[in-house]
Amino acid sequence: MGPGTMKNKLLWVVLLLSAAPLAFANGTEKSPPNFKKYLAAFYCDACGCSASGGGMGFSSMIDRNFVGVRYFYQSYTSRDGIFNNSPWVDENFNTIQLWGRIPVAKRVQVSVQLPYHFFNRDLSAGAQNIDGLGDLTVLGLYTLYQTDADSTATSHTLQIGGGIKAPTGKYDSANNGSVNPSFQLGTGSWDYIVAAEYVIRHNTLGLNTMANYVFKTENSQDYRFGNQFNYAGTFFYVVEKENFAIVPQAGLAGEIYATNRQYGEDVPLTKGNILFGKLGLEAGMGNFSIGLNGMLPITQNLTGGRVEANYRWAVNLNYSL
Amino acid sequence: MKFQLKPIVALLALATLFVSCNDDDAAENLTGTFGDAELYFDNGIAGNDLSLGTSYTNSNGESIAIERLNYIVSNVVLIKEDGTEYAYPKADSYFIVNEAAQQLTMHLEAIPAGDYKKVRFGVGVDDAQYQLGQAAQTGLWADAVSNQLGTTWQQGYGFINMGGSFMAGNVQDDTAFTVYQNGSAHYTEVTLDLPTTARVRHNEEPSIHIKTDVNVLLDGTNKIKLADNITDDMVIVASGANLAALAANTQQMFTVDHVHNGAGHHEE
Repeated sequence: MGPGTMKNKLLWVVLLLSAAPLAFANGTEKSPPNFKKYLAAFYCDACGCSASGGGMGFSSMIDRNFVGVRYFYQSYTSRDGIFNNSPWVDENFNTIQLWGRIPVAKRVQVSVQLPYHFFNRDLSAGAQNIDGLGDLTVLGLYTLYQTDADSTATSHTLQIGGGIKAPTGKYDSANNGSVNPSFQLGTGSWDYIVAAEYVIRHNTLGLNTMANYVFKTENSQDYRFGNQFNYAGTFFYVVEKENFAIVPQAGLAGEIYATNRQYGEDVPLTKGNILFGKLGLEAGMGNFSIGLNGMLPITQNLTGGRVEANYRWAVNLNYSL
Repeated sequence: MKFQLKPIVALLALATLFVSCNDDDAAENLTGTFGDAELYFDNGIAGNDLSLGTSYTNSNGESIAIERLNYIVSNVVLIKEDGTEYAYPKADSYFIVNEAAQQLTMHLEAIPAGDYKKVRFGVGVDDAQYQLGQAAQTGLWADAVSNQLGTTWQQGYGFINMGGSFMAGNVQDDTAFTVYQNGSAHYTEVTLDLPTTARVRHNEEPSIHIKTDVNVLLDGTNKIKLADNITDDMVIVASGANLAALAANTQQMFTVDHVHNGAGHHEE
């Protein structure tokens, strides 16, 4: 157990208190005219590094099709050394990301994410910074089923898709010491993603569920990050006014990582899993929307307990297509 | 609900394009190639990092502050999965670990390239080396003396020198102690399994990260109470039955925590 636990409890309280008024916001009951727009989609970005934010989410609950920019921050604490009393160091992962979901055909969307990372940590041997382009993700999404437009109070949408994560981020084996093996801008590998998403919505209340699996391959430095399974379920509530919409949301998001391999051998203590609780809020006006969300871990066991996730938060500005 | 099969098939077909075929490396020919490796000795006490001067209490009920920990590593042998051994050239196989000086990393050079699964080394200096005589020691003896692992040639090498102060139930005053393992008969070798392969290649230097537990020297299979060894208000554990007990405990002192392969990361 790292030092983050108490801090996390406090953060939970703050997050819940700040979100509480929204849960009671009084929405108008009529169906919004552009109902379909609110059929939210939600994806994990599946950045390959085993602690680099797979479950940050991939989409907006407000805009089904959009382009935008997002900033997200992830706080980790990692053990710097092999002993029980080795120091724990803070790791700060900052990411600015261009993202979007762009319609290309009636039932087909392309989802794109291009991150730029600024990571830093204070090792006992000295501070370390890495920054640069991260891995580009491109996903094709096909709408398998969708309730006919506006004809019913309850709607369903089911999408499936697949895509790739390209090694546009640098993988540097020198960072791959005994601290956090995921302190990397990218996996250095071509990785493949399959994804599915189901959204059900009844009047103003909706539930978005999704799962995706990332197959990771060996990079040029003979390192292969473990395959990754991401899943999430998010309730959202649409408060629609004449000129704007507000969508508070709450849910769970989880990530499961298989063992990393190097030179064809398992790297001990590299698998892990984490479950987050998340709260968010999106507000839209005209073609623009802003979003804010926070994630706190509920249970976790990352890299044999040597890495602990503390929290994540994100803010985004989107333009609806 | 109207499922359309065609697009799914198309998607799956597309997905197969991305499944990469692993072109297995053509059988590596390592014959005649060499690489380096290193042994990193990370000294600890019962799972915690060793912090010189900080006291802890062992299971013998003695509160011990270690202020000095020096020991000689020798006769390094790297062992492959099939049992083949590579003995590092004996003359170059001595290294003195000195915690206060943070002298912890032993560099090994020009090792035949290969995949090694075990490491064996001696703690101390074997009798054959001592029998060569003082003149043949080529600096080893001088190094040992300067690291408090030798006084007179007649007494020979010290293998381990651990010192500091302690208190116990019946020893209320801070009392200085020295544990001084020595004597050719008590030279001991340990063989350690590596949790992953140490890949020795040209331009690739595996780092074998060894975790020591110096607590077991006094508090291992054999229990050695410092309080039982007080003479003239100080303790020197350097003779008699204690030496065999220390040698047996030394067997428990080392494990390999992990191995770093590839270029890049190395401990210092």
